[in-house]
Amino acid sequence: MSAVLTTGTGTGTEYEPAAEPVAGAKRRAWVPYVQLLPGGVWLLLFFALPVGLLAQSTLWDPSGSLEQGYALTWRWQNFTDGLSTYSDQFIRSLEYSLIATVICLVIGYPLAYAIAIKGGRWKNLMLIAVIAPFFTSFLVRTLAWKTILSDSGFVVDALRWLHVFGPDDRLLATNIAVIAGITYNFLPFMVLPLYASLEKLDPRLLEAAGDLYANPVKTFWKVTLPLSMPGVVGGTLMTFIPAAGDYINAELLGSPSTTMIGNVIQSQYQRVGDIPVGAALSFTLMAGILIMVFAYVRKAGTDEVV
Amino acid sequence: MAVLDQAPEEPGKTGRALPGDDRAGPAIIRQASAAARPETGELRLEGVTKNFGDFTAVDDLSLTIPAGSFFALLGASGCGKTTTLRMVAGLEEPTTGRITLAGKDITRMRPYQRPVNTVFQSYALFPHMTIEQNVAFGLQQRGVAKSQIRPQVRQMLELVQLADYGSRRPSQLSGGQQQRVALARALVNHPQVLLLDEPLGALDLKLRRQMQIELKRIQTEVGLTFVHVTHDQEEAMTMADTVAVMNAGQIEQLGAPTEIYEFPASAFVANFLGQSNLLSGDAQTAGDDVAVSAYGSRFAVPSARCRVTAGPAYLGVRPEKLHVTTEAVPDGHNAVPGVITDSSYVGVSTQYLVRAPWGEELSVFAPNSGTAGPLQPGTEVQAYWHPAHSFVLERA
Repeated sequence: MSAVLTTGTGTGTEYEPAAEPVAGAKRRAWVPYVQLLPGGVWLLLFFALPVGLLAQSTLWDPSGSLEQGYALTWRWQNFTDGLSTYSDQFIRSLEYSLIATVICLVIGYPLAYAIAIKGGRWKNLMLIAVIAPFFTSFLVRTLAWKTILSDSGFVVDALRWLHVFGPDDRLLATNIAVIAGITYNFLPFMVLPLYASLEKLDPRLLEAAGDLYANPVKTFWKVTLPLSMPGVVGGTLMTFIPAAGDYINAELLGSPSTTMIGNVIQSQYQRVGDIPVGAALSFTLMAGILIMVFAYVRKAGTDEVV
Repeated sequence: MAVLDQAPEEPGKTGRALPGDDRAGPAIIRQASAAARPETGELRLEGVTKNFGDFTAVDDLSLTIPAGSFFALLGASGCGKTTTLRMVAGLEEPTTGRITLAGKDITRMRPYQRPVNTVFQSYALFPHMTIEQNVAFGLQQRGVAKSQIRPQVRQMLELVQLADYGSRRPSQLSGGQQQRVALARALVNHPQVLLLDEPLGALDLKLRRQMQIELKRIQTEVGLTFVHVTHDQEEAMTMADTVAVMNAGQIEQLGAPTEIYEFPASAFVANFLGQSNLLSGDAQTAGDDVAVSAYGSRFAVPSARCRVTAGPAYLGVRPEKLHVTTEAVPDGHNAVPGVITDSSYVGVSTQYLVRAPWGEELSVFAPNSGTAGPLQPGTEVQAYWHPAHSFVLERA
């Protein structure tokens, strides 16, 4: 500022940037790395390292045991064995989690929309209601669903009374129960990202669309939905990814015919004791999800809307 | 159109500044709109009231806006002008009353069913669409053939000097450019009525003046009815043929800008539109004139300039109609003696404050057209005016 003033009075001094800001900028330049350190160390110790060990264990010889140790024999067959034996469970996992994700989106979008746009002063209360189930454990909630869907529960009673169900039809131990459980358990993960992006939506844009001859349905497809795509993408990923690896719902609400890949992995590790195949299945699931997510994010084109 | 070429935000854009090329854009639009324009007709509001809970935003408002006029709703914020506009757009529903357009009742029509478009104060451009897609939106929604949309969008972008910006996003444009996109997006639909909700409020002063001239020109070219809401009295006066001054949900006065300025209907209008010196007094008829007695003097005002001819009244004179002199007051003028208490030289004029004997300060704008320097504070002067330049208003 002073330099500008002095040239104004005609002394002609040139403005020369001081040296300190550069040094200051340099000093500040590594502050972000320091801030990254705790998280980075955490990730390294508890994510990267275990994943590396897991990767290694996929190629162990299954003839060993935890007590005697396993030999690293680069046995790629673990993957092909696992895939050929459990392809049904793989497909079922993707199917169930996909259906549950779609149902979550269909239920969650109107809910998030209502809270974000029409919530008014009840907004926070409604959001608390959405996350209220998290105050109890995942296991307890799923067990509660077991009671709700049980053969003597009110849902089955009602369906029988309506003659939708015959006397021998049941809900528990069916794929409907498993999908319903997954949908219930992961719904908040869909609602919260959707709410976050719908909350940012400028209601004046909706008015503008209406003013430009778009009826409410067209306004939704042309303006609301495109602008809430970050929430849709975020919500579907947050629902689909954990749902695909979930085993609690299939375990508690399903039957052997609704076994998901998560159940197989769990039993390989904890019951059968075949760690290499369990690891190979985990890895395949992880890789499969990663590929699907990449394809999905590219297709949904989030960079355009954020 | 050349005016816009000087817009500071696009220094490199000189392509359309060719002489004689100026009016090509509007001419195209005129043809296009003549072909596509539906029947136009006057916009009428009959006894329209809008309540928000206990608050009455618009109070029994009746108004007729002739087709093809440039109509300004002028008022301070909270006076109900935007609510009135939103009711015409269909974004608010009147509590009672009727709105008709070309004889057709549109009171309960949804916004998307009305042949009315709005330029929003915030522009409300769709951030996920390009400029072209924004402008094409209305045409697409009405099912105009794709082959016709493109040329119309191009013409409209040319009209607002943004032909090269079609593939950009709104966020990549400056405020003035966004404003023009909002205008193009509304105009391309050839609405029967174009509603402008303080569209220039976010622009800096210089750009605002340019856009005022530009808007007025476009309105003349396309011949649509423009209803412009503003709190800027200068903007309303430069652009509109008819100005309605609103206060507390009602229209205080409606008329041509000169009419409202020269002969305001109420003290509110006299002070909202420019400045006025208002002297409290009592009026009584005296032949062809009305005599106002105030502070022991009697001032004559022609009856035609009086809103009331008897009872408590304000005698009003605009500051630029007041003259100050240290010499004798010319014949046939009213005068008040006083002392100059303040003198501010503003280049084109000098603004004086003259304290009258009863303590009130009168504001006087004297053009700096002579060679004599401004009068100094402390000078004893006579402030005088021609009776035909004053007006008499009711004093409640």
